Order: sequence, then structure tokens, then C-alpha cells
Amino acid sequence: MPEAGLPLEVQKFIAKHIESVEKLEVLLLLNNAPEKHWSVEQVYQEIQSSHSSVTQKLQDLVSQGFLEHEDGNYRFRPKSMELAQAVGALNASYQMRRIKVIEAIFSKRTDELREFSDAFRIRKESE
Amino acid sequence: MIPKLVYMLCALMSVACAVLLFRSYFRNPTRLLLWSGLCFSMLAISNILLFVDLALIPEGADLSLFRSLFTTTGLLMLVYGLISKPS
Repeated sequence: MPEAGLPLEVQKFIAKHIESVEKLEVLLLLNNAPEKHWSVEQVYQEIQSSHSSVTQKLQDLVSQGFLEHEDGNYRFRPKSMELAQAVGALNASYQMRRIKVIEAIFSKRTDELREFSDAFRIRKESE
Repeated sequence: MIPKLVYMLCALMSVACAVLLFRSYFRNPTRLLLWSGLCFSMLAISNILLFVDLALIPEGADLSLFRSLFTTTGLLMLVYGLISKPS
């Protein structure tokens, strides 16, 4: 279910790439300092979750094409202009509508389960 | 008579679940719907083989191994759909 108030592109981006608030925070942290090379420890000091979790999120973001991994450090270097623009739009939305972005992240999994349970409704309820 | 009816109902229910799940999948394609639809398809085949094995040809070949393979495959598909992350 789309979150009212968020641009459609941001909703699609969250649905496709962002599974957790922690991953969102890591991505935006590196996006806000694109010239800096971040170590896992430096990111952990900002995010304050766990080293293993931060490492996993950084590796996920590298595999998704948002970050570059070199000599043990990470840097925001999206593989395409579209990805860079999408992260910029996400950042802007997060600054203005933080709660809506968080709700969009958590609604993703709930929607999948709701679709599964709704599949067994023979007659759909009218809205 | 009653056992045959039960086997047939099991098969029909599995088919119905698979149809409902795939119907929803084609309206709104999500991974959970796809893999659960495939799971129930495998369970439907397993239940049809159960009906054939125990009701139609009770004195014929033993299809229990094939039934188990389809059931196991279906359950593995469901587990995969529940725990795998989208690429």
C-alpha cells in the first residue's frame, strides 16, 4: 500500500532496496559525505548498532551498486546517475517526512504477508 | 469409500489453494505468492498421486517415494520463498 505523501519514485526505491532503518541510515550517512572513505568502525560509531550488522549493510549496499569498497573502506559511489538521483530524493524525503519513510520501510514485509492472506479470500471485500 | 473421499478432497483443496495463490500472483506479483503457489502445486501433485496410489491402484505400484519427493520439493519452495531476500 503506497504511503501517502512520499513520491512514487521514493516508494519504489524503498520497496526495492531498503529493508531496514539501519540500512537507510548507513546509506544516507555515506551519501552525505561522498568524498570521505569510511571504515566499518567509523560507520559503527555513527550508527551504533553492531559491527557485524553494519558490515553486512555496507556489503549489501556495495553489491547493490551504491557504495565502493576499497582497501577495507567504503565510499558513496553509485554506479549510475539514476541511483544517485534516487538516493538524493530519498534523502530529501527522509529530511521532510521521516516517519513516512520509516512506515514505508516496515510496510513492505507486512504487505507481502497481507497479499498472501488476501489470496485466500474468495470474494474480495469492497473498499 | 470414506478414505477415497478424503484423499480426493485433499487433492481438490491443494489445487484450489494453488489456483487462488497464482490468481493473486498474476494480479500483484510478489515473491511470497509465487513460491507459495508453487508449493501448493507440488502438494496438489502429491495429493493426486496419493489418490491414485491408495484409491485407484491400491494393488499396483507403490508411489510413496514419488509422493514424498513432490511434498519435499513443495515445502522447500515455500521455505525458500519465506527466507530468501530479493536480489
